[in-house]
Amino acid sequence: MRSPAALTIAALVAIHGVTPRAAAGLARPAELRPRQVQLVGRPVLESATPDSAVIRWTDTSGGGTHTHHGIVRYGLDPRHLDRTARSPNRARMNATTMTYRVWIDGLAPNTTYYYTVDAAQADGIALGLRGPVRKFTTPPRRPRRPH
Amino acid sequence: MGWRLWAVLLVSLAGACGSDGDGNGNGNGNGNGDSASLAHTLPPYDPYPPGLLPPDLNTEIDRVTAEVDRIFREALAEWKATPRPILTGNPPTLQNTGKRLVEILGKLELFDRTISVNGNVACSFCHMPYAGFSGPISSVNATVVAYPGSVHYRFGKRKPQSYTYSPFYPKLEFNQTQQDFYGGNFWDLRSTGYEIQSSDAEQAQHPVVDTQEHGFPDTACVVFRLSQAPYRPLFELIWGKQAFDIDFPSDTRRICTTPGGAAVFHGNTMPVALSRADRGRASATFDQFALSISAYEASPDVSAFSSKFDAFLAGDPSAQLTEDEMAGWQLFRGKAVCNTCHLDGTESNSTASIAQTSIASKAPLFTDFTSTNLGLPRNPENPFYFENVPDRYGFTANPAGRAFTDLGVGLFLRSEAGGVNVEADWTPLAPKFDGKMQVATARNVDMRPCPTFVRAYMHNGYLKSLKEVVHFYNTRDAFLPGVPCTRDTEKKTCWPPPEVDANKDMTIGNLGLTDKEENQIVAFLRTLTDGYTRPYTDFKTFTGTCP
Repeated sequence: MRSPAALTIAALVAIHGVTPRAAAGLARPAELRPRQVQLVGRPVLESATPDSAVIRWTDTSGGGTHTHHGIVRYGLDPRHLDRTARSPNRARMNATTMTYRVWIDGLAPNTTYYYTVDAAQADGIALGLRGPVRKFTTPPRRPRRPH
Repeated sequence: MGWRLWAVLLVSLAGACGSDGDGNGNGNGNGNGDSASLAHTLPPYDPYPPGLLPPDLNTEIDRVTAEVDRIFREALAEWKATPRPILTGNPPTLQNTGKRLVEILGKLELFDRTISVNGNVACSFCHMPYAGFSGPISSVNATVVAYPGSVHYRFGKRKPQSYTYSPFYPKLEFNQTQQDFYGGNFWDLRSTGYEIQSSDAEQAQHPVVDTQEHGFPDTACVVFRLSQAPYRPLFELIWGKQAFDIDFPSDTRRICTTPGGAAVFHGNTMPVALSRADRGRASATFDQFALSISAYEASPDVSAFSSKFDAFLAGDPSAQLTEDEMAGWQLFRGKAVCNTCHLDGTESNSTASIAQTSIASKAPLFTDFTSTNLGLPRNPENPFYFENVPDRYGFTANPAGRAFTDLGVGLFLRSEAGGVNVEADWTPLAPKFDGKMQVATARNVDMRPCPTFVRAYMHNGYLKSLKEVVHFYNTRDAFLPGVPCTRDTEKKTCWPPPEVDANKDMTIGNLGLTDKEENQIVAFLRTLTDGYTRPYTDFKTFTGTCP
């Protein structure tokens, strides 16, 4: 069995090995070029239902465009985060940090998901926020109350 | 509902049409006899379930109509009392009273109910001064939110927006760097201003030919009615004698009393057969009609910058914010992140507290001119959901019925549901703008004739008080989603799911505000009501009773 650290590295390579921008051959405008973005604290599971979850975190991607996108890559296998959820978040003017909340739906109840977080400015291209693979578990579906 | 309101409707229409029975309550000589007689002999379009429409709808329509007529008459008198301007200079300019006369012209147009197919609905019928130039009927705001148009009871699909500060929205452009639309008018931004370079003026051109609002089948009908208005000399003074030098065909009156969307038109939106030159002249006059309205809406009569907050920003020592108002402002620009969209002039200052003297903008507009999807639930009381059967003219407003989903800007970008996209490059952007609605200014959100008068908020009016608005921003995601709301829990500890999931803005939804902090933000929002430094024009025109 591979160690959690190895799983993390595998996931990061899988995610960041080739960036979408490099693949598209695009050059990011100078004013949008990211500095090294870092997490401020740990991402947290803000809430979860049997079929949805909200992940919240703060990082150093503040400034730049008005709208940012929080990105959560997630999946059932920590080595294969094959799904992505994005949510728009408005930037605070003149703030260097940015708090994101990403809403994920279409989840299965009572299931553990692995995820990493990332951020993007208005162009939607991921900034490459680095961090370990984390996990959360959705609650089981409650039986409906009889009327 | 069927025929329940029919008897009341007859009384209502009789009142609306005036004693001369020509459908012209302003007494300016327009003849709307065809539509008036038709309306008197046929039942209203009423596909709505029992209890959906408020029981006082017709008496309230009468009340607002009388108020509209009174303001119209007063505006006529103001015009007559205004000294004639001097045409001088180069370019020739109307010296001294030119600006005010353009504004008066716009006001007359807005309060003239002959500018509707049945002569019964002025623009201002849905936008009265005492309600911040938004919906003037408390019971409608508390229930169906949309307002009945000239053809009773065709309803629009959204809440009437406020006129106040609407001229300050720029023409719609897509900012490539920000990947966002800025400007435009209407909830869905569909009034772009691409042609006359004013999104607000273009906005005034839509309702008059909207099938569920003023109902004219052709923009030339607006020009035709203007040509018969008592203020035609004022229009010609400002815009020139050529404005109405149009050879209208003999069937114009009949066409212009037949509602838009009628099967008889076979989809033709220019049924008034004008020569090419006359069509061009009528289009130019129609533009001038709209520009005059925008001039009025930008004037201090409507966009006054006279709130307590304006006085505070100006350093008026008698306009100090109370402790709660100040706390609310700090929350507005801090913990509650309201000013990430509703710009208050302090965006460049991220300090926890701010001094009155260090505010960048002394006239903040409390909007960033963009759009967003707040994840608002449907308003199940929206009458539009029930307009899926044809009316007597063969027109069906909403074939999709309850399946209709209001995608807002996304609809406009796809040229659906009344919007027409004028830039093909924008069409592929539609999925990124599904569910988004204009960020409305927070100014005048609390303007109302009395505290118990209900105003509705957001595009579908689902929220009925500022407290509900702030509580929604605060707690949209805070309660266990997926649990069905009950009458006792909805809007308190439970929110129904969003009408549109796509692009749901996650800046808000779980702000962690206390009940006291919510109330403090409401207290601050109330400082944005014009009329503090000087009386707000026509505010005291409400003649109804407060619920």
